[in-house]
Amino acid sequence: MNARILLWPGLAWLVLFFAAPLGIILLISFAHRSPQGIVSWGFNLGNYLRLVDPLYWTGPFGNSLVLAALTTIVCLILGYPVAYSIARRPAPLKNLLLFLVILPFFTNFLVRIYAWFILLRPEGWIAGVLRSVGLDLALLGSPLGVLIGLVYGYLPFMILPLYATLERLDVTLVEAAHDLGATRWQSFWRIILPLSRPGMIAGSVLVFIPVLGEFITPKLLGGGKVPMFGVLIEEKFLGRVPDWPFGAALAVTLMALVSLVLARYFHQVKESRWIG
Amino acid sequence: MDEVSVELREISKRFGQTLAVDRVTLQIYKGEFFSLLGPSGCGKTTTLRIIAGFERPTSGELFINGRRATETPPQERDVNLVFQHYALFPHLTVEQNVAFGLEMQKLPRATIRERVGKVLELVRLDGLGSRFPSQLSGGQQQRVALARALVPEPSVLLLDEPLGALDLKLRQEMQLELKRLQRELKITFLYVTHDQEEALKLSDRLAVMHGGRVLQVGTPQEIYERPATRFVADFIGESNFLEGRVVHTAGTRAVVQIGPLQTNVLSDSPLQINQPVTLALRPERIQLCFPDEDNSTWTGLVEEVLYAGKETRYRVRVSPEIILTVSTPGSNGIAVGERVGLTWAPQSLRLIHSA
Repeated sequence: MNARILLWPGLAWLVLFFAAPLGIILLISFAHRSPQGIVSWGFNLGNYLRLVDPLYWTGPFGNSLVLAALTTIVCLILGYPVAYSIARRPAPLKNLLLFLVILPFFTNFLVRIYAWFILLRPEGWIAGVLRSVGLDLALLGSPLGVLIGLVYGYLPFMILPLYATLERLDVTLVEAAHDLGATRWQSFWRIILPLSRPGMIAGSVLVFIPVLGEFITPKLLGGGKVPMFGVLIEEKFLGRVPDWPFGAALAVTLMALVSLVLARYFHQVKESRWIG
Repeated sequence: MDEVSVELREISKRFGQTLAVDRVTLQIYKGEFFSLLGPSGCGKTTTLRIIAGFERPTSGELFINGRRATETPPQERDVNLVFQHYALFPHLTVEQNVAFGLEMQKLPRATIRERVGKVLELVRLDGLGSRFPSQLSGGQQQRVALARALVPEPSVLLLDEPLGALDLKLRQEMQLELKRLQRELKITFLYVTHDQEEALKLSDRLAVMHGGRVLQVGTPQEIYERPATRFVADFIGESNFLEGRVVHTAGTRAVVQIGPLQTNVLSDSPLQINQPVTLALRPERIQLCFPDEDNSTWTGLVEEVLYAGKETRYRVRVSPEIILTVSTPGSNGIAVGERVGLTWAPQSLRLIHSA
């Protein structure tokens, strides 16, 4: 049997449900807004020109970029020690701990973020504890609250690829470093950290890109006060004053941004010539 | 040669239920090429890792250069290890790999550069300094590992089967290279291998290990010519083993009855009549001759002839129960089914302690 036949089902699926809708979105992004906010076909660049407005860049785009970057950094700092520690456990314990990392996925994302909504309320216990130590922080409806939710939601995506690289890391390399006089700290900075770079990059990509387009977390935990890219797109399609062509232009722009990040990622991977 | 470089006193290491190293006591002298030889799982690598500091012995004491080092962390020991699979840092160039140990000592840049250059020349890798390990052949990687371990000028260099991954030709070349380096640098080499030929060729002295224990320590000649146990006689080279009983003694000489046959034996210690003994006889120490020659000790029937170029191997049945393996250089036209005489010098027949 020709192995190429195996391609067809998957390919058909992708064309039908990915490429075609993408094309439609692209077409819509050049169309006019109809009075109802839907599409009036045509060709103009007006939707993209509106994006030049600095208001978007300081607002939703800026928020998305900053929050995605912060989420990535916090996930990296929190996730690295976890991944490292799990990778150094004996096999049965390792599998159990990994299972615990992915356990939250057994519950719907929306439900979990809603749980955070309850936890972060001003009358919730977290805010209560913070108040009792003199910290009167607005959690719900603030970028901090959104950040907490995002880090919570995306931490496993950082831990898993990090774990995969750290687990494969040859321990004799660490022994060799010690043998040559390196302290634990030196062997970490000079050997372990650089060798786990592929995992750090993969984890960062897996966190940064989806967070860039996130809308559930900012919508629930931001309470409309933390506008983000994804929230804006969602509003343009499903909001009270829809504007499909502008929403489509936003979506296409977001995709372009994401592609840029991915291109950078693949470039990084290719540069690591010592691998393989 | 009398200054002790590494000393192990009653070192044992237990992993769960298994005793990997069992009361090993060794003294390795300064400037010596010392090998730990044994089959896989005999405890030789664990012993080496204890000396390197990667394993802590369950009991016993370790001394390096006369100082107690049992609990000293690896980075503070004046020893460096050449790892079995080299353990080169894949993200660093050859130069950076070699410089690593010197950078840890916080030496000035100029000094590091100079010493790295010198050691790369020593292992004949000059010109490859900016390559990554993955761009090198196995033999070159081996040299980088060697250079990296040598450059901090340790007083003892530990080598864990360093040539195991190389093909035969390259291995023989590297053996000579190692011997040359050791002579030039006058560093103590502690070498772990399962290759008996390699150990005999390279070592000043060696220890044969089995089941976590050291069975015999000695020069290659002592180990080969006077194996202390049946295991050593079998593992180092090859031996025919003959089980018999002492039937007559006269000082250090004795006559041993093996089945229907008798032979003369020289012994270091007095033997008693009727004492059961095991004798070891190397195949290459047996000569074949015509069966009616006066000096022929035993006669037998050739059952098998294997021609292997530099030697020919025979299986000769000398009694219904006893078959001897004989090895002669070259080919001498003896065929299967022929009757032959077998002779050997009395000192070739080694008395083995029944252990």
